[in-house]
This record gives sequence, C-alpha cells and structure tokens, in this order.
Amino acid sequence: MNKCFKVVPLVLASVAMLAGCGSDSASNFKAGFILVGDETEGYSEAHINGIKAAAKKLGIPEANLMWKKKVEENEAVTTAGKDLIANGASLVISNSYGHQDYMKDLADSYPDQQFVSMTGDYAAISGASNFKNAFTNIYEARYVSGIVGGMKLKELIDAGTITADDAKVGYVGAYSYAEVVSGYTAFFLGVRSIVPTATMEVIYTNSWFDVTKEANTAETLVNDGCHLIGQHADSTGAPSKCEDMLKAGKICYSVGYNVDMRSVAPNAALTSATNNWEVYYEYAMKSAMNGNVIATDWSKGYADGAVGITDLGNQAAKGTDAAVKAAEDALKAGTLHVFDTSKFTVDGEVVTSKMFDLSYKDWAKGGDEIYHGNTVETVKKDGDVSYIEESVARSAPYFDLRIDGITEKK
Amino acid sequence: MNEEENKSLETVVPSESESEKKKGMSSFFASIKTKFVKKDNAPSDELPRDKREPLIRIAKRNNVTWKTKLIAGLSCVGTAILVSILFLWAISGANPFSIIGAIFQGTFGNSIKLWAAIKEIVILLAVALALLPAYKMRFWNVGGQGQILIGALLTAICMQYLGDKMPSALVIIFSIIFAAVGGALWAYIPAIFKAKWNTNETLFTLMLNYIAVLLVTFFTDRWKGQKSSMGTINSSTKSGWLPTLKLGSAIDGKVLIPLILVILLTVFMYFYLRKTKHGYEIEVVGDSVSTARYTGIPVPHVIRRTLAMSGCICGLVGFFYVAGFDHTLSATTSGGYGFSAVIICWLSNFNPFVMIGYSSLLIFLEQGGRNLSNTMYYQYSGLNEYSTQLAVFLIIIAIMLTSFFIRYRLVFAKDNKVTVKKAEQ
Repeated sequence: MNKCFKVVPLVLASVAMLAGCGSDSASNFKAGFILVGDETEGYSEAHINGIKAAAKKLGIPEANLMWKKKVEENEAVTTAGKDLIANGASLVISNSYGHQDYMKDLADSYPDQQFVSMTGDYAAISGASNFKNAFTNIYEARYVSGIVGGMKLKELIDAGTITADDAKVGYVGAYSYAEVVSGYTAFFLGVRSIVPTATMEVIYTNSWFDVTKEANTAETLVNDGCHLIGQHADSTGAPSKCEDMLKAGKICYSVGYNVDMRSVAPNAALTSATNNWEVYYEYAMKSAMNGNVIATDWSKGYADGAVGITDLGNQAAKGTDAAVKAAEDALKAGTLHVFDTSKFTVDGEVVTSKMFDLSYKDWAKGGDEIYHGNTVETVKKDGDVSYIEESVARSAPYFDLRIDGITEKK
Repeated sequence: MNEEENKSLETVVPSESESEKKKGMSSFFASIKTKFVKKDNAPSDELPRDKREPLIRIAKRNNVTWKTKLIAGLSCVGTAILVSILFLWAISGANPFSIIGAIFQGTFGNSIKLWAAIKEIVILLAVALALLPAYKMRFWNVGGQGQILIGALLTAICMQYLGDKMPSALVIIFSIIFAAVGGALWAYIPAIFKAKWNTNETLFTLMLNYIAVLLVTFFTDRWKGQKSSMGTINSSTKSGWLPTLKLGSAIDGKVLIPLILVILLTVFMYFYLRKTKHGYEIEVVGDSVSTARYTGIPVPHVIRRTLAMSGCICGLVGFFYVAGFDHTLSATTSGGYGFSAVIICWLSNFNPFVMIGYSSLLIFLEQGGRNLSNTMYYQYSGLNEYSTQLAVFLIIIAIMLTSFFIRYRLVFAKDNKVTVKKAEQ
C-alpha cells in the first residue's frame, strides 16, 4: 500500500514530463549562435535581427537563443561552440567564413547536434553529415542595387553634369575572392544594364570591417573620378565618406551593403543590398526543432525573399522604382539571369564554358587539396539564353571571372 | 626592524593571549597575533620608536599553523564570494541562490562542462608548475606566455611542413621534441643573461613574450594566405593531431592524457623541490645568492638549468594546445595563463598540491561566471560576461589579500606608541 502511494505520483510525474517534451518542441528547442561581431556592426546586426524575427515566428522563446558575440576566427570558436552545446543547443550556427574549420571540428566531435557555417564552402565535401553551409543569392540584390546606381548615373548624364564616358563606378571590396568578385560583377552588370558606357575600378581593403580603411578607399576612388561607390565590406566608412565629399562639392553617390545607410549618408546613400537572413534562420531552426536534417547547401534569392534592397534615398533618380520593380519581378520569375553571357566579355571573348572545381584547397601551400570535390560546368542554357550559374553547385559564391570593363587597382 | 617589532608587541600580548584563545573562532585574528611572538623576554624599556620609522611597516608572521591558515583562508574566500554574489545581486536583482546555483552549474552542470573545466585546470596547473621552480629561485619569469607560444609555434610548424611528408605519429614525435627544446631555449636565453651579467629577468622575459607573439603572428599571417584567418592545420588529414581517445560521452578523450600527465608532474615537482639536491640548490639560491655561492652552489648553472626546465614544460603545454586541443595557432593560444599561473604560484606558497586547489578554484569561478552570463543574461541584463568577470576578479583579489595577510601583517607606527604606553603602565 505504502509503496503504491510512492510509485503512482512518480509515474504521473514522469508522464507529465514526457508530455511536456512532446507537446511543445519550440519551448524545449535551444539554438546557439556564434557571431563575428555584435549589434554595432552591420553584418552581424542583420543576422541578430534575422534570428530574433525567425524565432518569434516559430514561437521559440528568446531565453532559448544563446549568443556568442565578437568571436574571433580562431580557437575561440571551439570554446564558444562547446559552451553552447554544454548548455543544451541542438543547433549551432556561425556567421563568419573564418569560423568554418572550427565548426567542422565541432561537428566531428558532437555528431548529435547540427552545425551550420554561414558563408562556408566545403560542408558537402567534408564528409561530416551534420555540418552545413548556407548563404543567400546576394548577387541578385547587388544586380538590383546596381540598377539603382545606374539610374542615378543616367540622370547625371542626361542633366549634363557628367559625360557618358565619365560614368565611372568605384567599388570598395574586402578581399579578392569569389564572394566579392561575384558581388561586384553583379553590381557592375546592374549598372551597365542602364548605362552601357560604365566602367568600374575595384580596390580591396583586406578586411571585412575597417571603418577608416573603407573611408580612405572610397576617397581614393572618388578622387580617381568615380561617381558611384559600391561596397562589399561591412562598415559605414564608405557611405559616410561619400556624404562628406558630396557636401564638399564632389559628385559621388553610395550604394551600401547590409544595412540602410541613410542614417550616416542622408544625401549620398541611394540604397543598400541586403540579405534577409530571417528566411534561412526560420528554415534551419524549424528543421532542427522538428528533428529534420538541414540542407547541406542552402542559398536562396529574390524568389524566396532572402535578399532585397533597402528603401531608396532622397537623391535616387526618377523612375528608379519602376526599373527596380521590373528587375525584381524578372528575377523572381527566373527570366532574368544576372550573369547572362551575352552581356559581358572576358578578354574580348564571350564566355562559352567555365569549369568550376568544387575542391577545397589550401592556397597558402600552393593549392594542396584539403577536401576533394567534383569539377562542374557552370555555363548553363535557359532556352536561347546562355548564362553562368551561381550559388547552385554550392551555397557559397564561386563566380570569379574578371570581366572586361572592371579593373582591380593594386 | 623585525626583531624590534616583535619585542614591542610582546610586552602587550602575554596577558591577553590566554583569554583570547578561549574566545574561540570569532577572535582567530587575535590569536594569530599571539602565535608568532617569540618567547624570549626582552626588556620593555628598549622600545622607543625610531623617529624616521615609516608610518606603516610590513612584518612577517611566524609560526602560523596550517589550521589557522585554513580557517583564515576559507573564511576570507567565503566572505569574498558572498560579497561578489551580493554585488551581482545588487546590479541585477537576480535571486542570490540562483546565482550560486548557476555558478556551480558552470562546472558541475553536465559532463561537457565538467571536462571543459578539467581541461582549463590541467593547463593552468601545468603552466603554474612550469613556473614554480623559477619562482622558488626568485627568478621572476613572466615569460610563460612566450615560452608556451614558442612551443605552440614549433608544433604548428612541424604540422604544417612535415604533415604531408611522414606519418602522423612521427610528426607528433618531432613536434614534442621541437616544442620542448624551443620552450626551453626561450627561457634559457634570459637565464644566460641573468647568470652572466645579472640582467633584469622580468624585463627580459616580458620582452621575449612580445617577440613570441610577433613570430606567431608572422607565421599565421603567411599560412592564412588569402583567407581572413588561418583555420585549422591539416584539417582533412589530421596529420600531427593527437589522437582522441573514444571513452564514451562521460569522459573527454582529449583531456584524459594531459590530466594524467599533469598529476604526475605535480607529484614530480613536489619531490623535486623538496627531496632532491636540485630542489635544495634552488631554494638556497632563492633565499640568498651569496649564501649559495659561499656554500659552493654553482649559481649560474642552477639558474640556467632551472629555467630550461621551466621553459621546457611551458613549451610542452604549447604542444598540447596545438596538437591536442586547438589544432590551430594564434597569438591568443596561451589564453593568458602565463600570467594567471604566476598568481597561482604565489597564492600556493610554492606547494604543488596546494596549487591544484587554487587552480581549481580559479577555473571554477571563471566557468561559473561564464555560465551565469550564459544562462541568466536574457533575464537580468546586469549579468553580462563583464560583470560576472568583475565578480570573479574581486574574489581573486580577496584571496590574494588573504594570503598576504596570513603571511604578513601591517604595523602602524601609532600602534607602537600605544604599546609603549601600555608597557609603561
């Protein structure tokens, strides 16, 4: 009799606990995020906002989101990741390319959790089944932001402020690898779809985030005769410099990245290309929460709302809205291909074949292969249109042709 | 000075000492006061204070029993922890008991946290043990960080350049040799200068830290190529990586071997310093170089030998960092333990077994602080990683002060006057 009394409540309690687990997966699901910056840096801020919005949608309480901010690209990632797992995270996501190796290590050590290295490029060939990569088709948004810039240049030309041959574009790039090359080429093609005479000069800062360097680079570009400054670096350095120089009488406008730049450049900022990370975070957290496997490579664009441009600035040219809308609709419908081979040449030739080796190599050691991947043809045909496919063979960008009209300044 | 000081107190103490002892715990400070008084009876009229005597003097306490030390230590640390928790409570409004709970959870929450703590303790203890003989010899080696980094760098170099040329086991053997020799050399350089020209070893070892950091940065910058950072070395072949023992989820296979090694090292250091000729020589050189010379101890040789050993162990710690734990190299590889270890050395009064306790306490507090901000930050914005770190350091400073006052006491000039007066009555 006595025993019975003891056992029954125990059984009831455990049943209640089990029921608690089953009925509300969102409140038991924990995810950890390893970020290279924090709210003060545009790129990470966009991730944080995306994560919070996605969690809200899925009903995941904020308490279940664990943050590791300002995590450097070294062994600190491993420490942070372990800490997140120890605190119950079943999904760990990092947002910087340099976090990737450590995330792969963590994935090897903890097979029961899923690990995503955003912007990473070798999950599919690494052999770790719980290790994933994700990105967005940001090149689509850069193309559209190029249209906004092109419309402004066209307005300046039509007004006689600059000549058609003067339509020079500057680009503040972080590093010289495919992610940046793909981005500035898309941006340039967007500009040239409006202003066929446009040329572009690219300068690398060799840093993802350096306010001073980006500002100085923008200044150099404007002094080189550029009237439109695009960027693939994460600070507000370039737009605020453009604003200063515009005030000082130069003709220069800025197209930013990640965040709306109107707060630092109310007149110079035309728009910014942005990632809408919420789309991916919602997908990834929902999958992990329901015990599903996350896609090894995920990259979506306009069609899924994963990329976009911010509201137009007050100096944007008349008719920009319509031009943007037309391009966005075409991208959504899949009728517009950004890297349409009829729209550019390389060394004067039309590109007919571009092979891409998916292998992950160590360039510091003369290109030794670290993980082997297949070599695939990236030139595809869609009806009569021939185009270079981007972000399909893997999520991270791989378009790295230097097309005619763009010069990289050393 | 000391003698005079003792005499002055002695005149007051005898009558009080017996009664105060009976008061028990509450007056243990007073009882400490009584214990170091020498039993010789100096005449009280020899007391007048030197007019140039400073207002506050520091005097060593003698004959403090370990029991008193323990009680004093525990109660002070306890008070410090209490004050820190009150501080955290005051800035955040969180329930103090949940704060304590979260601190304990930081180490004992689950097996991952426990092994993460053990890993940190092992490293901190190893570095402290490495520095121990140097400090015992009163050689201010603040170059632990540099010696670790050199060991780490040489390991990384072996992995980077030998990784694809020979089997992993050979790479590991080469790494161990290079790391040990490199670390030893990095400590040997200032030792030569100290032994020969009596240069300032604090500055010398400190400067070598910067050189080590820059060397590491130079190489990592080369190895990262076009990437924004270097990543792990030999990530696909795992050449030169220490194999991870698969011992189930309860035990971290990466930490077990270092744990066993550090226990052996602790025992070795204890006997090395207390029971061997080397240990004796180190102690004599530490107490007085002149005495050492007079007794025929080859001082320069002892300095060089001891520092080489110190650096060798640091270098091996660097090896474990790169080949065992991180598989990468950065200027932050040594995690600042080269300096924390100095604190551990001093707090433990050069006793290797006491060092285990202090290393564990330090890591326990750090893990606890981190867990606190991890688990409660979203509710109480006051509990971020900075405020919890601040609380941890408050406790560490309290421990340092405690250990100082267990060994020494302040003597105020005014007190002397009072005692003189009392004595005259």
